[in-house]
Amino acid sequence: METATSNTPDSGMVELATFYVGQALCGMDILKVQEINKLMEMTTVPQAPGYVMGILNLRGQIVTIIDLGKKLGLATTELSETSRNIIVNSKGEYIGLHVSRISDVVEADWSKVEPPPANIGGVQGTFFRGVFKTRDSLVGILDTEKVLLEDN
Amino acid sequence: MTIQDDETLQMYLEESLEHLEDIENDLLAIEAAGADIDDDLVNKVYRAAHSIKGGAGFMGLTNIKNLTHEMENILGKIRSREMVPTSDVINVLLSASDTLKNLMDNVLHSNDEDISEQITRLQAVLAGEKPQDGQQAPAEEQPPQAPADQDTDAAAQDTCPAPEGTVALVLPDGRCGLFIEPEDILPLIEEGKCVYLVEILIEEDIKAKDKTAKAVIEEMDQTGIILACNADLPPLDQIEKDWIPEETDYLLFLFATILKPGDINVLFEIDPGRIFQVSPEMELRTLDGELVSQPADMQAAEPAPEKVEQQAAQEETKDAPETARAEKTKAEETTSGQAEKAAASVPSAVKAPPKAVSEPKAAEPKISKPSKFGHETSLRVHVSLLDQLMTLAGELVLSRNQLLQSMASGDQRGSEIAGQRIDLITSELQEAIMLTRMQSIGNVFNKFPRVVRDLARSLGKKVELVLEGKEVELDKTIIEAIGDPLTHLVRNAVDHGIETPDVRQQAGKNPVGRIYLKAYHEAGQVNIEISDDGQGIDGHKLAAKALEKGLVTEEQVKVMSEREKINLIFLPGFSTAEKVTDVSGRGVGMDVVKTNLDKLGGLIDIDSEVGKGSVIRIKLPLTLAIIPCQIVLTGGERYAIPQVNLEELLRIPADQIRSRIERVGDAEVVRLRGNLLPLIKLSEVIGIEPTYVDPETGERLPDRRKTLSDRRCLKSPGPGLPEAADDYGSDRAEPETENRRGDERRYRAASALNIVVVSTGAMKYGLVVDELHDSEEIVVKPLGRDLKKCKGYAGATIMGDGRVALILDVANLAQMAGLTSVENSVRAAEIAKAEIEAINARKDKQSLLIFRSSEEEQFAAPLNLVERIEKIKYTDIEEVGGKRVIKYRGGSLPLFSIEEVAMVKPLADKENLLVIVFVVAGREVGLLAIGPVDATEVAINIDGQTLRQAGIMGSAIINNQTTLLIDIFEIVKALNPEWFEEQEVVEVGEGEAATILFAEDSSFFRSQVRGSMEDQGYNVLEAEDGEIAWNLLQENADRIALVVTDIEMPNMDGFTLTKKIKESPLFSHLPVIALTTLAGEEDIARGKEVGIDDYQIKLDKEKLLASITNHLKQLKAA
Repeated sequence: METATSNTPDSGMVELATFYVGQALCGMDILKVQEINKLMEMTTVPQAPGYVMGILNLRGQIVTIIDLGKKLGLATTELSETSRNIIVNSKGEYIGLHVSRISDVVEADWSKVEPPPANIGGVQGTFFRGVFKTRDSLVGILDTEKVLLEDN
Repeated sequence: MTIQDDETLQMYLEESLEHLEDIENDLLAIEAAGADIDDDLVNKVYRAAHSIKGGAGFMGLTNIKNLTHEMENILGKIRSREMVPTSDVINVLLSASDTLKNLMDNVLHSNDEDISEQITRLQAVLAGEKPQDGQQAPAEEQPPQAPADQDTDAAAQDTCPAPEGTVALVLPDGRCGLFIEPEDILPLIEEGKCVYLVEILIEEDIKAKDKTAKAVIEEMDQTGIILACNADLPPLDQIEKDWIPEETDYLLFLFATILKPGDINVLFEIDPGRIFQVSPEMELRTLDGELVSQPADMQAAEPAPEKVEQQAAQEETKDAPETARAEKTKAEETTSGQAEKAAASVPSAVKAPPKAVSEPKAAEPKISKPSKFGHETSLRVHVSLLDQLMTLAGELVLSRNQLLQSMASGDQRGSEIAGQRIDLITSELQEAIMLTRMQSIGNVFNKFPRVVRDLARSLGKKVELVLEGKEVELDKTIIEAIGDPLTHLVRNAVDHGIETPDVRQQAGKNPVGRIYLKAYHEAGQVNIEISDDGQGIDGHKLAAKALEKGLVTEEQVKVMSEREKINLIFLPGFSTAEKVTDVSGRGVGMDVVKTNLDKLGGLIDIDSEVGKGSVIRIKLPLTLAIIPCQIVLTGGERYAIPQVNLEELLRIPADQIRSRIERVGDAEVVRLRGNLLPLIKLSEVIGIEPTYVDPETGERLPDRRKTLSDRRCLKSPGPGLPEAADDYGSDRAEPETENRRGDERRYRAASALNIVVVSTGAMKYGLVVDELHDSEEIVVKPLGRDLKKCKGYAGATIMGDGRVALILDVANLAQMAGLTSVENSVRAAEIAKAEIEAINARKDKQSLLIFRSSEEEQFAAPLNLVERIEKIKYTDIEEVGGKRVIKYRGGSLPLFSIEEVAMVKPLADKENLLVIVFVVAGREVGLLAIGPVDATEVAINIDGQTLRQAGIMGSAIINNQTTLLIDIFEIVKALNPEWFEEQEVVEVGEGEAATILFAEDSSFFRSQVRGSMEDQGYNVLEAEDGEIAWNLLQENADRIALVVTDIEMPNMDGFTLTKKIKESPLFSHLPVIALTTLAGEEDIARGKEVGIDDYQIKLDKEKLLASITNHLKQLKAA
């Protein structure tokens, strides 16, 4: 699928919004992030795939909230004080990624991004476009489109 | 080619497509009018074609231009009544307009399309040929022929066949000049301008003189108007400095200016022999005023019909006069000899693009091309509506400001007022915006006359299409989506519905079939009806076909109603055409139509009568964006059910649940007005836990009941019985959840069952939800892609509190619950049957004739004893020998009235009387009565005691009135005892009367029939139902000689009882006489099957007794 890799060329500087999925620190291009919120007034959708937490009203738009942890094959992300929805626009539709905690914005240089290992914190390496080392941690850069493919 | 900027092009296309649509329908109207030409209509089409052509020329869309040009020619001929618009002519025009549409759909590449075939055909028509012959042989193969009877200049004229209504200006050397339209030119001449035809040679007049084409054109533009040019002139401001026309070496201008002939050459500075003035007669004159040598050329060109090759060449001569010119200048053919001129046309034909003559295609019009209802990218909205929107938007802004201000200053009152205003404005705004999306259904309907005409033609049928309600408006999205399903239905009506004219005539119908397409508003929905007077749909055939295809089983078919059978047509994979035509029977059929309509929230229903025709009714919502919905709550979440699917809301009180909810097989059903409605539990289908609100604590608790008729059971009485603290509560004999009420302990309102009765198409079911909320207008929002697989939802909406609620898709829910439509219909039929049986088992129905003797008292007699009813005059009654009789069919009919035997009010003293004729003891007797008479079939409880007296067997309440049931035998017996000879009692053994086992559930009939049998001397053993009878039979096996049984009985019915008797070796010899209230043929057949020996009517004592005697005798003899 052509969307597997995003339009941004893998070069130059990129600002990453980082967050925790379970124990893994992940990041994504901040330009892909529509907003981050903590709206938790979700409507559950019976019979929806397990990773769908529900749908919510984002200023008149219906947004599907996805439990990113579960989508990536980890444990359920519990609703908590620190958990947030990262709203991204994917293929013309808003999707909320529910993560357990938001972290900093990290500036990364694509040239210093290394190919991902087989897994990062229990998450399959194929979901990542690469890893970036900051001073004190390792950020796995998520390939959001790949993550959001329906059939994984 | 020059394509203008997008916007202009877009505008042109929109306008042209609109024109095209009009053209199509107008052409059909022209065709319908035939030789009786409506000038206005033809002019309208002509103008439309002309404006398309004009724009195309401006845009550089040569193909479109050429095509419309040819159409215009034909239309011109029609207008001048030189041509009759036959179907053939119209056909060609229509297919040309189709081609135009295609060209416009792909406008950027329109010039690359090959339209030569169309052009050829148009030209052929213009030449007066049948279009079928219109494909010409390649021009090269045909030697040019000079027309025999035309004057010398005719040939030249033929090389320049001008479109009708235009005039070809032919240059003195015979070349085609420009086509001009007198209407365009005459006004200019009248204004005092002079119109010139100017030929500017590019080499000689421009390049050699160091000028540019641009400069020449600019100069001309400043001094006058360029009316036409042989080259495609770009707009003036876009002409490149060094632009020269590509395909030509000369420029021909039609130029209007105030410059007089004497001065004109100041402007051009060219050889004055190349400047001609156009006279008001459309003749060319030299600047000296001399007529140019070919007067014939100046007149409206009339193509010689017989000159096929000329016609063929026409395209090229017109299309590429440059080429012809180039050829000729090289050959220096400047003489005006006829032969040369004729020949001159040939090189151009030779030079014709190969496509023009390559593989002539079948000339048959492409009529089965499916019409497309594309999505339009823009919409026309009335300016007044836009103004209204603007005003509302302004209002909204003002109110917002007001609200912000009030909020900032903490002015509660002000905020409220502003809020109210915003509420109002929003509603108005919503309405106005919805209006912009509304389009009349005429947009869709208008395509059908063509569809029907073409289809009818190709099928050799005659069909008239009547359209009604074109002005009905629907949301744009629906209009777009309804096109294809409707087309399918209309095609079906033509293809399968309407018969061929000879078949119709044989059937005594008008050979012209009629299809009626009608749209109208009803109950907030748009209804579309497609009816035809064709052969109708044969449900049996459909059922047979469905069976053959294995879509349904034989058992299913058996229980289907005619309507259900017809609705089988919606099953996927069902194609009804007996032979597959190219029009229908493509494998996709009505199921696709139905699916498409379901998607739109529409309903479809078919009604049909074989031989008479069919009616297809479609119901559509006005809009899809905002729909009214019923909000329900299940499992703590709200769901919306579209109102279109909603039939009714049902709340079954707690104490009725057990009696009204039943299990049939593994399905739960609710009894609703005599029908059983299948139930689906929403919580179960979507897999959530149902909840209920605990009436005492107000908590929402999970509902653990497995089946609906289960009770909720509190394992423990709860924390300290809350009522204990309540003074009144403790006094009240509160039937707590303990065993106070025995079987039924449910009493709380909260335990009531909430059912939403929904329907989708033919299917109707009850959706059990936890709670019913309000009905609301909701805005439909699509669900994200991760939820597309959840079939149960049609979308989501945002509720007033900002939370999201899911919209249920009731059709899919039914499917998920395994309640598909055909399955359901079969099951519903089974259930209904079970229900009817259940009802019949409980009550006996009796057909009664209701009448009066006096005005006050109502009487009834068993209808099946009545022979007939006669109207007589009081004066007709004769009293002879102390008896009243009336002359009747050559004999005397004895008359009596009820009061002669029973203690009732006397017969009313009226002039007009009724005589109810009965047959008693083999004779006819007449009972005098008065009206009103009425026959009813009622399930009644007859009271055999309270009002029992001689001649009256009992009473019942019918129509709210106590009615006396007369005993006709008793009455006649009392009056004429001598009529009744003692029936012989068949004895068994020594002087002992036979014993009869009598099974009957109604105590009234039991005592009646028993009485008559006992009167006769038989011993009777009574049983209340089949089971008891069976037991009795076994206990008294040796005594019983005959069985008389009712059919409808609880526990075991008469059929089963008989079957058991006949199957048992011990009793199989016993005669069984069945008693019915009204013996239907089906029942009789079934009875015969199980071995019932005879059928008798319950209250016909005589016949029953005779039958008993008969059977007993036979038994004895055996």
